Amino acid sequence: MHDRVVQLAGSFVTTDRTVEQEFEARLAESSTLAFRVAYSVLRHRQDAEDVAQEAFVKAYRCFSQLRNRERFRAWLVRMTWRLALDRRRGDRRREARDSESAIARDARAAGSLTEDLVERERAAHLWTAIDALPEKLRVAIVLASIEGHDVSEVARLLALPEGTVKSRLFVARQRLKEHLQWMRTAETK
Amino acid sequence: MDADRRDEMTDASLDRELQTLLGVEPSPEFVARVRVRIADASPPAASWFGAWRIAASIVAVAAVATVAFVFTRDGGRNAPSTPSVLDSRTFALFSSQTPDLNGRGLSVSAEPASPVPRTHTAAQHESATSRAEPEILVDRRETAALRALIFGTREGRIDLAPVLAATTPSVMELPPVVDIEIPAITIDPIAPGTGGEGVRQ
Repeated sequence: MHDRVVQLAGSFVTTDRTVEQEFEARLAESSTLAFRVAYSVLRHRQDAEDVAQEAFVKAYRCFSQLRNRERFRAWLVRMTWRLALDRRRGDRRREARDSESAIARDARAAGSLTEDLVERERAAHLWTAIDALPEKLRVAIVLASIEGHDVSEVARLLALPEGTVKSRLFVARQRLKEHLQWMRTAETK
Repeated sequence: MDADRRDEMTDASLDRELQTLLGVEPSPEFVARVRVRIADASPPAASWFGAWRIAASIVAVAAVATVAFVFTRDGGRNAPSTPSVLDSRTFALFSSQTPDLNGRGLSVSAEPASPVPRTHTAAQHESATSRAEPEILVDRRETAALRALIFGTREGRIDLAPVLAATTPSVMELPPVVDIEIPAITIDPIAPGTGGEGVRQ
């Protein structure tokens, strides 16, 4: 009887350790994805990290249902997106402040955008164009641009048919191009 | 064709711009901070197991309570056939006390003649019986006679030996048959009337 109890307890411990290891692997491979999804909505580094953290904690709490890699990533993307939208809605004033100053600050910190004023303006235009998209198109184009996801990967992340994602990406690109072109034309004039 | 190529190039440049825009890396401490927050959170397996265990316990207790309630209620309803009621009725009939010959009649719902402490079950039964079955009445005189017979027999005042010893006579002695004398019947002719035959009177 005692041996059985020890064996049962041992199996629980082993299960816990396995779960911890699996979650650690998911965290390592999906942390940037969650952060970028949050950043695409909030455009504020610290807020994006907070939201991504929150999403990971929620994922950890129900990890027993999310042990499949694809399912975990899809769930994480949707949860992060939703949490980021909630954060953004709850803090409109910060959004207005960040739209100008934080973009430039993050661009400098990341080093991805040059110090060139023109580049910063182009980035600001692009964010404005992205914000003008409907949410369905926005999430599709953001996911396709993060980590080089192709159509099938975006379809899996959003749990949508590939055809739907393809058409949404097409429409999103068209609208972005039109919007950018219009803004640049207006600037030139 | 040129327009298509220009569109393609625009798509490519747009994608490059988007990738640059969204290619922001989290801070190096980000993953470490997530680990710290997760360490503070409850472990998933334990919490899931605990919640499941609590839910199962609640369901089990509710099921036991429901079954106990149903059995208790049904037990009260089926009480008419229980022996406690029959005991009280029997006690009323075969009590060692002297019956009240001038007393009331006996009925199922009537109290016993002797001061027997009524139990709660008997009271419940009576109320249940009055709801479930029609009341059966026995004639008072018959009840008194039966009681008198029973207690008289017990106390030796009535001897039933002759009654038990009495047998039905094997051959019945019949009185002799006497012939019945029937006198001859004589019918006198009807006297004719004064008028002639066929004459209307």
